Amino acid sequence: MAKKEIDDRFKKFGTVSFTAITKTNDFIDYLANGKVMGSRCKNCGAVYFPPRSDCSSCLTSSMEWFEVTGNGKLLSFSELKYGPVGFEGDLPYIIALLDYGDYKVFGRISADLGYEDLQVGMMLKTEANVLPNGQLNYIFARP
Amino acid sequence: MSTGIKDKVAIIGMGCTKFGEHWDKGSEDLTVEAFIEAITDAGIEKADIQAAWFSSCYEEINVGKSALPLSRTLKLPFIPVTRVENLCASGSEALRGAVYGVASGAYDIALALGAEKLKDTGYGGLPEFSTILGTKNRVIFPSLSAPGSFAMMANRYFSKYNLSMEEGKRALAKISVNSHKNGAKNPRAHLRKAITEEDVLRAPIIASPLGLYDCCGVSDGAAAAIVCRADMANNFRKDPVFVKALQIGVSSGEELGYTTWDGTYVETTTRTASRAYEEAGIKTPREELSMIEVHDCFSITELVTYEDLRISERGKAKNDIEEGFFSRAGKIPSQPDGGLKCFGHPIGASGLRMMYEIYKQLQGKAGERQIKNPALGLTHNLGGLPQMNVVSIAIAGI
Repeated sequence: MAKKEIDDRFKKFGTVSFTAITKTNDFIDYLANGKVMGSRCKNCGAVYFPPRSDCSSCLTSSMEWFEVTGNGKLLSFSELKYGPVGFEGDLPYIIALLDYGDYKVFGRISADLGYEDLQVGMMLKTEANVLPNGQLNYIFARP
Repeated sequence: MSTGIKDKVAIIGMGCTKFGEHWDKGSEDLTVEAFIEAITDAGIEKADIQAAWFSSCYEEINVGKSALPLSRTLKLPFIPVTRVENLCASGSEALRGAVYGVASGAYDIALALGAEKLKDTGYGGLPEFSTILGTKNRVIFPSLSAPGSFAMMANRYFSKYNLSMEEGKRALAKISVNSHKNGAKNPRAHLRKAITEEDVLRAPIIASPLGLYDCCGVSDGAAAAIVCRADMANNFRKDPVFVKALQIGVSSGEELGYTTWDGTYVETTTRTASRAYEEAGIKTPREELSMIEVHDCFSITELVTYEDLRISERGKAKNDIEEGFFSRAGKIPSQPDGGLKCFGHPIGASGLRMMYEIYKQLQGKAGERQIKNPALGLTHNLGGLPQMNVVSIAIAGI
């Protein structure tokens, strides 16, 4: 490669992605293969979601990927009637926070779950998802 | 050995524009207006100011970057001027800069001024967040909104403390009713309409369970403070206000990691409040504080802040709200000027606006809104979201 190419894989993330280039771009390749990944520090064991390439606990950069598997506990949720710029077309949609014990995952609830179906404390799983326009994201669905 | 900021610096003049929709004014007009009120109040000349701190949050919109918008607007004579930005807590950051500059002994008199001009951006809430939270944080959650993240705090709080949706929403409604009641009496407030609980409960939902009246808007406005060495203060006026504590805390990011944080409180507020109380020598805030101006960006934020400030017990803020503890006639009036909810929220000016009300109340100059014999007031200025934020707490007294 004569000239360094711009690694802008995060352009595929979400309905709209505001994410600039990061060292954790492999997140997108994993997502395309159906896996939602976080990162773990090989030095001190700290766990990060979203993934980080540098550990803020011990300040080293020896990280490994791990897959977000199993169920997380629904910590809370809210149905948005107004959204941030770029997401107006998705409204209304439900945002949520899942607790996996060592880390928490922010995300959106699967479209087949309604507001009435949700209760704080219920178990949900995190799933990679392909949107109709080809963009990638992840959603929370029934186990 | 460090001794903190208590009683080293006095506020001798303050200014604050009317907050609202200033279609006919630029950020320069607002800056000049707040500045003239502040120096007139302090009885000083522009030439007496030795250094200045300027806060504005959305710098590309109207105001412009760097410290130049302040120095050029006021034609400050080549003195040091510092630009500060710390999200919605920017105004408190400017005050902190000026107060610490004077406390260091480097200056006798300094200016803090915050300005923001947002209404002509055409956006209802805040302008696009993408460039604010940075690369990594945007990976978390591209579709997150500020109302949504605080709304999740409300749902979680209701669940943890076994409040039904109806009970929870009604407790939050009382908070907004209180702010509107106070704001209606404030000629400089953006929204001056008294409302009922039913108005709040019937309003359109923004992010469930938060409706329109649970959310503050954004405004245009500016606010300013003149501070000086405490031992000089009586040369300028007989009723100076003294800084008792000024603390800022910033999230480390661990709320989303290993910690037990469950989304029903703001970790940064609890830690910053502890430091502020220690600095001011306050042991029992519920007994010692006379009034508070907290960052009520959303009604739920105000509710959890009562608890994070250790005024209400965990899970018990609802009882205090129902008993009128935070009303103007209550033990610790909250938002006597109408708060962000009604006075308005021009981001970079809000922290200074909170202190403006505390300052006027302590001097007995709050007119119709006057609280009886206040001695100690607290401002709580929060920037960011429940899970990652900046919190500034200032305590001032006579």
